Amino acid sequence: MSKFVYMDNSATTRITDEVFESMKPYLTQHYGNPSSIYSIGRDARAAVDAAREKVAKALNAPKVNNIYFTASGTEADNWAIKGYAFAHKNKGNHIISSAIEHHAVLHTLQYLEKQGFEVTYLPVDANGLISLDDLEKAIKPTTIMITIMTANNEIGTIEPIAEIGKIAHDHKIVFHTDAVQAIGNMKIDVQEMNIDMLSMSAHKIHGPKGVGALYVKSGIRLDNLHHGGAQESNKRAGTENVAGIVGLGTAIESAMEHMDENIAKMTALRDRLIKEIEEKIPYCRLNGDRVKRLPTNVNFSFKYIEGESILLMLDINGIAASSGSACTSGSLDPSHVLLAIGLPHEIAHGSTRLSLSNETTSEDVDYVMSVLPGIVERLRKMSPLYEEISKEK
Amino acid sequence: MNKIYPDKIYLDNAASTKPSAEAMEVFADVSLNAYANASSLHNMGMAAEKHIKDAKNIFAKTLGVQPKNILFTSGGTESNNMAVTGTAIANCRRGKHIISTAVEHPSVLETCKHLASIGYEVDFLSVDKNGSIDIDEFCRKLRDDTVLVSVMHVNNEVGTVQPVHLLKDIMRKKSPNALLHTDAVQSFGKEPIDINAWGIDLLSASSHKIYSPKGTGLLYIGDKVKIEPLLYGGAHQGGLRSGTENTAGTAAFACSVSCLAQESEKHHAYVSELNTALRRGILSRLDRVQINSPSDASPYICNVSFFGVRSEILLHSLESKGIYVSSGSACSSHKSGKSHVLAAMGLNYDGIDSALRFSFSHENTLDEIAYTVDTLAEQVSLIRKYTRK
Repeated sequence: MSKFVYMDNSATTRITDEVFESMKPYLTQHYGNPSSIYSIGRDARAAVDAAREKVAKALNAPKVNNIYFTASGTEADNWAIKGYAFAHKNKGNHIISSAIEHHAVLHTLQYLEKQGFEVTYLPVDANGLISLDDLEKAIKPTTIMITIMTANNEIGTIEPIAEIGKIAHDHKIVFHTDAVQAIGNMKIDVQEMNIDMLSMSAHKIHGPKGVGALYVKSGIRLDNLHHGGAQESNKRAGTENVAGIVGLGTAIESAMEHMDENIAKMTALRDRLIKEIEEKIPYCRLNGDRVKRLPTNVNFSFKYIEGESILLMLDINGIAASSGSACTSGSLDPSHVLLAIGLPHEIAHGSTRLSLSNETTSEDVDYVMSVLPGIVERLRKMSPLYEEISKEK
Repeated sequence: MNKIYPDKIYLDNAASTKPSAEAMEVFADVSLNAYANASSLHNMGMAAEKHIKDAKNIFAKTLGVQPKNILFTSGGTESNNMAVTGTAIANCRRGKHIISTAVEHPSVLETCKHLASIGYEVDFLSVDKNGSIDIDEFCRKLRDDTVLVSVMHVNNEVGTVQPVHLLKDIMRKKSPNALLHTDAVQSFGKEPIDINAWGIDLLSASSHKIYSPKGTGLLYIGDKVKIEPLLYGGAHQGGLRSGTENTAGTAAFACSVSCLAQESEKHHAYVSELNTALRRGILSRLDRVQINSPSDASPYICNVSFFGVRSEILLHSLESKGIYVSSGSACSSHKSGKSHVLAAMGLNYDGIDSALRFSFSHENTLDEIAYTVDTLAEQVSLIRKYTRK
């Protein structure tokens, strides 16, 4: 039985040997600056362009030049939202989003609110889904942008992206989606799904950290976030992270090539994990939609205990998992996502996210199931709340 | 050596450098073994976080500051953008006047121009024929409502070292609230920098200029500096710069700086020899040339005009002989405009159009320089023959 299981793939994924090997030549041989006009620079430029093609193909972007490389998914979100809002502030100041966005979107929107923009955060139902009716109703003459994530990072719920995009376009509003968790784990087609801007990150798909990308449909004008050199068609200054970009290219190509088999495999493991937890652990609640759900996500609330305690115990047993998202794991506030789906504070505190990747094995699930029920039971025995409940029974 | 053409003579180290074996080892180790998210609470996350903390300590020690003053970014451009925009916006109630120079890197220049387009007032200091700012002009431009002074340490095209160390004293008298930022991308790890003695409030540096992979930078932010983030999100790095940390890149960057810290004086002296050899060689073997870098410039950069020879033609003919140099800075290579730095120094069209930048690393050799001088002598006279009017 394995002693170590990594089930925190929504926080970040292991960089694969294939990806790292593809990056190496661009660190040790083709280390030139891609803006240089001689051959070492041109090799680097060609590699960046090849990676751009791979990303464009993965998203079915109409043009290769619709893809801009950034330093992270966070930067892509910040750029899309601030860049579009500031460039179109004369058209209107209203933006529609959802209550369960990643903080890269939420905190950017909060910043825009301070700058005079108005933001509607659509509520979600108990499964984390927004309502298309609510969206229609929220649209005003001043609405310039809708930004709603493709799939949620904490509970894995997949939003009705194509329909949201359709509504946006019917009203001539631009639609951005944070697809950081979705890429590689579900089919994304920016044309079919009516997506105008899409953010993604390399390190969630077995690529390196420090690289992201933003898809921007032709004709959409964004203010720059980084001013300076003429890189990325004058839209994103800064020497390209060549090796990182090459790594993103390799990672996304591999993800696309194996997507169907990966999804089938991960879905089966996910469903087994969910089924066994529900069978073996009483007083638990699956968070997120059962069907419209990323194949990588399992999120449970275990009543009467703290998520952090579960995490700690899992960690001692060699299982890396997370409560909520990695970014906010240092904070004591309950997850905004779990509160938005209607969980009371005390239950929101007791949630655990086990996130899978295509590297997760059946043995990993076995190991988690050999450990988790015991952990929950032990922790509950220490919980005064649980004691009371048990007495009542 | 009997080889007619050496493999590769890389004299474009101001554009980017080759990651060192040590930095590569750290990069590979952290990438492959410490891949967890540094914000994750489990053991693996803490192991990743330790790399970030260790890196902060190394930079803090090198710069003589506290670890909490170090912010990691995606590169020099992001650091410069954040330093300039972040402080201008955070301090806009105090004033909207910024002072910079005509010879800054585009990441400062364009950022200042953007601020000018949204209601800020920016004075760009002129420079003399050596590329140096004039302290008297600086004094005159300082005002009560000056909130930021951004003056680069070493110029990326010609290597001129600006008198950054003199600025804060003058600022304290005339604009006590103004912050001092310096773009040290070309000097960090190469030239002496004293943040405390010079009164620097913000300093930008980049990994790939000092033998580390591209994609990491740092911004030193002084204790009392009011600054707004550029990136909002998961509140990483104390909320100042959201985004999952590039653990491997950061650790490699720290490795580079600790390697260099021990060797910087030795490297500086050695590179000075290379620079002198190139200058002497060019001046003794070629006519109608002009060294644009002042004699007291950073030895890591030497900018030369070969009159009558378009720089791109010479650049490609050098490339065909295995020598890699640059015309102006790499960042502006794709812009149609000619060097704003050489123009600010008063060079005429021919001087600007025929300028090449040679930039060194401690891994270059005197043999390489000798070969470069030979090749220049041969190629320049060849090209001049064809273009003679």
